[in-house]
Amino acid sequence: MSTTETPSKQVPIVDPDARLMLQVQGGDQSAFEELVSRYQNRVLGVLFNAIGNKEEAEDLAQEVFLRIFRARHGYKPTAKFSTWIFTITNNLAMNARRSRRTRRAVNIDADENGALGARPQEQLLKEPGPSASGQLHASEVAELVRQAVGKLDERQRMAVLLSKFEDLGYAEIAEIMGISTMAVKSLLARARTNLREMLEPYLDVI
Amino acid sequence: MQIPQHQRLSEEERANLVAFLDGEVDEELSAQLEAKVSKSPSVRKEVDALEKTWSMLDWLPRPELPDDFATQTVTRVHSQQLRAELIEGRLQRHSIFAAKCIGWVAGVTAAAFIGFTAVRLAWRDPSRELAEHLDILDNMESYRVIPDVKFLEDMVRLGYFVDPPAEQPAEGAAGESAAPAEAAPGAPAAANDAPPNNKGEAATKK
Repeated sequence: MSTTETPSKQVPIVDPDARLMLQVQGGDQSAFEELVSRYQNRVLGVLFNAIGNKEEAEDLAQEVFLRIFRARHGYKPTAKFSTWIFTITNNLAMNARRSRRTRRAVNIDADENGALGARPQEQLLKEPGPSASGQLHASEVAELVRQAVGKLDERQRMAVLLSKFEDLGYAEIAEIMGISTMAVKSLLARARTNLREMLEPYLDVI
Repeated sequence: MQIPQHQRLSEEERANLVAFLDGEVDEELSAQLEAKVSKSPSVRKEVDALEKTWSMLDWLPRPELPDDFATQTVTRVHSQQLRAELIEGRLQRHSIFAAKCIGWVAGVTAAAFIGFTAVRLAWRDPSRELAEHLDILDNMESYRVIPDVKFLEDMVRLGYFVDPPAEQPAEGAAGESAAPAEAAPGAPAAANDAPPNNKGEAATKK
């Protein structure tokens, strides 16, 4: 079993992804491919819902793995591998949002393709067009939920995505986002309250 | 109908409601909220709305990357590595070339300096040599008059090279530039060659 040395004793590495990463560190290309396969859609899911643009999210997803590979020599399995990869994911998402804000400040053309944040805050959620039975179609529900999440503050959104998609605890989300556990608790409390206010009216038509 | 106080959530309880649902509160607070939820219909309704809107996030899109994404990523990693190695190799070659150029320039400069110094030390500057013998050159005309050493000794014996003592101007003594009593054999009279007057020896031809 792979181990890692601490000053006092050797600690067995129980995280299978961390063991794979150590193989990558040793030059095992197939181990790197395996890691990419395991995480590619998870990373893409978070990125796409964080920034709203699929092409950009795919580019960023690849960048996540490139950074993982470039940093392989300095890798130490002191935390879960997933914490590390989602920390990089979060950083790239935040950078992408920041540069988009900068570009938007320069370029007055707000016609952005699929950008969740392009709609003005005061715009109401699109009124659903129920079918004859009064129910929303799946695509409409998806769009509704996407709009609601898109209206959240970017940090609330990231906390929601990590909690919902990855089922991560507050401590791990805090580590990924570089904030305190109390801050995560506050972010999620506000986010879920906001989501409830936006989506509760549609609970009866789903 | 107003909700009784004991059935309402306090500010602290409301702030912790989402964390309670996520299992992130301590046992004491968890028990407190559990009791409130079971006893209060309004709290149960709020919890219910939070949970349902949270589950609506399952409708969020989760795009997938193509199957060859991992292979593409590995290919890109290798091409980046190759590019980095090429750049490093080019930089190395440029550094070696630059070092060689600097070495050549330093070598030529050093050789020039050594050569210059050697020539300067070895070569006697005619001007310097002249400067060293300036006093001889100043009297060269006089020295040309002297045919040999014996003549010079005679002149010394006759007192031509002794400064006359300071004397009071005597009556009738005027124009004390007397010619020597004995002219040196074969030596032409030089206009500026009047020896100093010697009282004992000076004689005018009468």
